[in-house]
Amino acid sequence: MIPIRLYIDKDVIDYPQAAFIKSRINLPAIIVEDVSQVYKQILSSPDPVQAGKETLFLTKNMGAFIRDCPGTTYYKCCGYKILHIGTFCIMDCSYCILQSYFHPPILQFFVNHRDMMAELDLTLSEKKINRIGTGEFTDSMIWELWTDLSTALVSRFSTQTGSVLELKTKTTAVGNLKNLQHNQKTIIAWSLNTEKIIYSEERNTSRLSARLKAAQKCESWGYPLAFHFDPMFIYDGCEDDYKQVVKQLFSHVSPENIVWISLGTFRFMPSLKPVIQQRFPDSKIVYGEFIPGIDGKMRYFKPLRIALYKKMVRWIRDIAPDVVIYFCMEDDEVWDKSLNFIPSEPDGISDMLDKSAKKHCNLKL
Amino acid sequence: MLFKQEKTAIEKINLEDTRFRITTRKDIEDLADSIKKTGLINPPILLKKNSFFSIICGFRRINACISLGLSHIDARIVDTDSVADCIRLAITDNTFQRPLNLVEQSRSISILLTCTEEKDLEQIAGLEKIAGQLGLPSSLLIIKKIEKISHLSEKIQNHIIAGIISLPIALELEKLTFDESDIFTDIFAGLKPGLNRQKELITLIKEIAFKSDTTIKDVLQDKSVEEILMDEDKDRKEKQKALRLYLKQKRFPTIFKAESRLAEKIKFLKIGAGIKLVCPENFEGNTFVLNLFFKNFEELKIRKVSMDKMVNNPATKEIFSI
Repeated sequence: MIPIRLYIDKDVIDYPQAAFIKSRINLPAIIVEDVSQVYKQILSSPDPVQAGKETLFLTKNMGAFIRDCPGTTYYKCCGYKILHIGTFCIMDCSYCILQSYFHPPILQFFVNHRDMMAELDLTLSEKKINRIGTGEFTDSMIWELWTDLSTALVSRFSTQTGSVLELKTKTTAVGNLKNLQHNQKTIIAWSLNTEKIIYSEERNTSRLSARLKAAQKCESWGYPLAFHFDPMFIYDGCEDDYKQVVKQLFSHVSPENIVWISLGTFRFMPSLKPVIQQRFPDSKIVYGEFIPGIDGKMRYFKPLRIALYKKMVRWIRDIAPDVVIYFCMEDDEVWDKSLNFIPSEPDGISDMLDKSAKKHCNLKL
Repeated sequence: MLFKQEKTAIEKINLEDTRFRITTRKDIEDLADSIKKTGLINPPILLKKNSFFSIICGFRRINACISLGLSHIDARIVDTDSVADCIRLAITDNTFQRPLNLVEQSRSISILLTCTEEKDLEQIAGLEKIAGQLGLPSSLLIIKKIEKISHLSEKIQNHIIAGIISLPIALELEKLTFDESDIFTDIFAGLKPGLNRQKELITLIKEIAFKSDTTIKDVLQDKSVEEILMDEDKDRKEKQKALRLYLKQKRFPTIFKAESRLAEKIKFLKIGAGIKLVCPENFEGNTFVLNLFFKNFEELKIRKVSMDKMVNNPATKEIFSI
């Protein structure tokens, strides 16, 4: 899926990035005085989520570029930082929280890169390890078609030694990374799932084998890698399928080059359920055994989560005993029963991931 | 609009033509009594077509007159060729006399919509204004919802009129087939659950069907469901409870099993009066709560003994491992 409409905020029309993207995207640009014009067009569509994916809006990030990952109350968080480059995605995953996170959701790219780089300079000058990712409110690599963002970011991170950039994706758009000087300060990460889930729930994304081949390429270019089994889904036969994915993963890349693997099962705000039911009427993902979690999100019943995690951990450990595995937003009991330890408060997970980043990415403070 | 009042032969009135009928009431006894005592005070309004008449307003009055054996009645004959005018007349004659029930409102909107070719309500210019002028709800959102009622089966419409089914439930049922929605209606009519319970039952059944690749009809006609509904030893409240439990077990088998196991274990502990063990809701948190209730020091000592017993009972440990 590619955007079919291009809107440009009148305040950024002279920004070099806006001109660059406009020249690459080959769409007539509509200049808008006010973002409400774009919202109006999207909201008047019968499927605003779809319309949001088809409408690229180039604008300025008026807020902070670097933010703490929001996390949630009660569950353990890893202390990640988000580099807020833009919002939404051209791929269409049924479970994507962004469908109900933004009102309305819109494919938005921030072109005030000078501000972004200035903020990044400040953060990178801190005497601490920062794990910074662009894949929280969007996919990190979908922008490769029209922008040179990754090139700029990889190059910027390569010149420092205290922090790592994680580019998280479901695409295979890694070509631009090939000849970059990265100094191992950029981790290329993929979200992985079973073939069945990719086929039925992750519209317009790359197949599993394609993602793993892209990972293999990045490994050959010297990049450290990471993988996220998140969200995992519980369905009949899911265990065999996930086991197969783990096997496939390690038949493509070496455990030594993996900085971390995260595990997380599907969780969603209740408001997402009707969106999925309407936009993906054949999807069964919301009909699992969910309970309301302490943070208000619906989660699989805890014993079911633990059962799947335990197996995943075992399958991964069988092949890669030393690889760092962590959970995204789980509690002490899940950690204890699945990984046989509870990270210490308040920075246990953070320290564990920092240590791995230090080792794999040669960080020096 | 001009009217001509004239004596009209009832046999010339086409009773089959119900295009303009808004009222859902069919009873005529009270009306017939009144006409018998005081005569027809408010003459029906008719539309003349060739030598026959269609009823615009006064369906019940005309039926009452027929039941009284009258051959002619006073009627007002409308002088128009416009069906749209007749529709507006039929609606206002009802809305400005009495509050319409949901089915009547829906009929009014549906009839009104026959005046336009446009099927998308949002595209009909001035619909909200026209509806408001005719005494109907003037919000497009409400109009869209109410209009759907006219697509439901007569059985469901009757239950809406009787107050057994509310608008939100009617809208849920509208998404189903006639067969499916009729079965739900029978269940609701029999068990009379409240709105939230009705919603819960619809959701559970729909999700069980979808999850297990069967139809809603299959779930509803499942032997266990039928047994619960036909159980003569249970009153409607007990049947509601049993049905809900059965459906929850089908929809959330692992959760149901764990909850049942926990309840059994707690029962087995025989904690005693004045102590309540509260487990983490949905097994999600890690914190258990023990509530002690006592009125004086003596009672507190008794609770302590019960609590010590509980702590020393090996079965207590098992609660933490469910």
